[in-house]
Amino acid sequence: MGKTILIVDDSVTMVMSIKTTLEIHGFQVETAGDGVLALALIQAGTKPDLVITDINMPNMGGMELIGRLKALPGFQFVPILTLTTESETAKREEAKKLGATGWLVKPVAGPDLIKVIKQLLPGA
Amino acid sequence: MEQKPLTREEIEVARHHGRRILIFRAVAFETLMLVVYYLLEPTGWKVALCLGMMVLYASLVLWSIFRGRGLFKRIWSSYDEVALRWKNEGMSYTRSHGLVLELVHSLPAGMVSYSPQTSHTDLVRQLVELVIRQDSEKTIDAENLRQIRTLLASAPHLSELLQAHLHHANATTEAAALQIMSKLTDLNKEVGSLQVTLNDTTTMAAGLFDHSQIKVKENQKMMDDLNTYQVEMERQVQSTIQLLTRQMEGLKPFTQLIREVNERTNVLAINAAIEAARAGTAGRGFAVVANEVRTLSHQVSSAAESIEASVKEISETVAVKLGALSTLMHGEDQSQGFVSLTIALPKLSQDFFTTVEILKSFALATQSNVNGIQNSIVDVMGFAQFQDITRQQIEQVDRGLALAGQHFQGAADALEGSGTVPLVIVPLDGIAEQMDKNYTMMRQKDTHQEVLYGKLGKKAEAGPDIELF
Repeated sequence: MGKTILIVDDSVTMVMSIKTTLEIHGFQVETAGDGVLALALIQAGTKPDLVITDINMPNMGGMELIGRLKALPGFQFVPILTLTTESETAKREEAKKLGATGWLVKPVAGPDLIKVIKQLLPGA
Repeated sequence: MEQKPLTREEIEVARHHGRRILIFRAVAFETLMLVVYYLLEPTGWKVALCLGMMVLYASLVLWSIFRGRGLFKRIWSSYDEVALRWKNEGMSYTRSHGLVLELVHSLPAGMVSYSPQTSHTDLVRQLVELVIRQDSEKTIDAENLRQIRTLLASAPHLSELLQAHLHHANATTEAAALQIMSKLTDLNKEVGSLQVTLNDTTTMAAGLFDHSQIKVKENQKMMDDLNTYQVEMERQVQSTIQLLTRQMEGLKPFTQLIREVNERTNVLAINAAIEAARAGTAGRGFAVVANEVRTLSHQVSSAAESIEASVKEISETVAVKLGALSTLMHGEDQSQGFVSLTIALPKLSQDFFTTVEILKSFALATQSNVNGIQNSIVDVMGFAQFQDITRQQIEQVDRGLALAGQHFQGAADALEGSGTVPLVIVPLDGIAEQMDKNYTMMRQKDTHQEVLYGKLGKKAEAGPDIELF
């Protein structure tokens, strides 16, 4: 059974792109359209080994989601990657302070994404 | 008659009404000219137009006179003094000329050229031309304003249209990207299914190989057993033949013994008959016995010969049958069949092994192809992310268009009341600034900088595309 990765993005094309890429490489994938749905999924019992989240989303954006996830018990050491079109260093610093593990700028090539994930999840 | 001095307010009111009177007079003059012109070739609507204008003019003049009657009397009285002074200085004067001069003074410098020698008629002509020109300019301004208002009011419609096209374009690219990715996902599933089938086939082939190996070994053992059985059977047949032959040979002494006993019995019977003949009557009984013994001897001899013949015949028959059986068991075809089968079974095993190796090789090659296809799918999935980038860019343009539409609508609304209050219409730079704040992509910020500030403009600070904290 592969590691479980939660993708949070309001773009269906992004979700499908990342989901297919991860599944081809043997990961279990869960998806959510925004921060609120992601939290609901986790409260329902989903326990991801890694989270990939967009920043600009309706209802609840990526920054708030990172803060809330890091406050949950058991999520302190779960890696959280941001995948966004934002590229400014100020936003990166904000995400870093909130507890994000890394920052990826869209579009991201599949092999590069897998490389980063395997770096964060040794043995995956 | 002493005149009460006019206050400034009264003078302003008088100027106002006086200006109207002057304008109306000018209009009336023009109207009169038109009437004269149209009466030369009168038509129904021309006459009606002239009459209508005259009635309007008369009404307004009367209204103005009524409103400013008292003031005009006083103004004209004061002008009488001025006029007297001007007359003393050699200038022409009339009440109306004074009024006209007052009007000329109230106008900005340069609009009407005059001097003390300028005639009243020339002043009035200049004023009339001025009024006509201003009316014309007002008409042009009003028309321009109307067109600008119409233009501004139409801008939101164009914005909505462009936004609708952008929405459609967004939906189209999104649907296309999703279809592409959906097909790729299907392809990936097919590839996965193919891989599973190949793995299953390889596993089945390996199992078949193992099973065949077991069966081959079992058959080999059966062949060995059969071979051993054949040899044993042959040995037993040979042994049986030898035993029977020996037993048959063992019967021969018995027949010989019978023959010898028979011969002795016969001799004995002859001797007994001779002795019985010597004994005479006393030996008759004995002679009968001797005769019976001899008869029996002949019968025994005959039986012995018969036994010997039968033994011989049986011995020959057994030898022939067992020899045939031995030949059958040692048959060339059967032996060759055993040999061929013994050789074929290992070869069959080798063939199975080769087939399985080919299948494994095929599976490995296919696995490599599957990996290649999956890598391509992953690459295409990455490329398909363009849709999200395009979507955000289109949404940015969409928001800009919506803001521009609102802005133009506001300007159009503001122009509705133009002429009475100052317009508050701000340029579109604010929208550009607002868009600049909402950009998320470096490409958008760069484009903004390049368009508005040139390529040397300040660029926002950005980090690498992939960064682990």
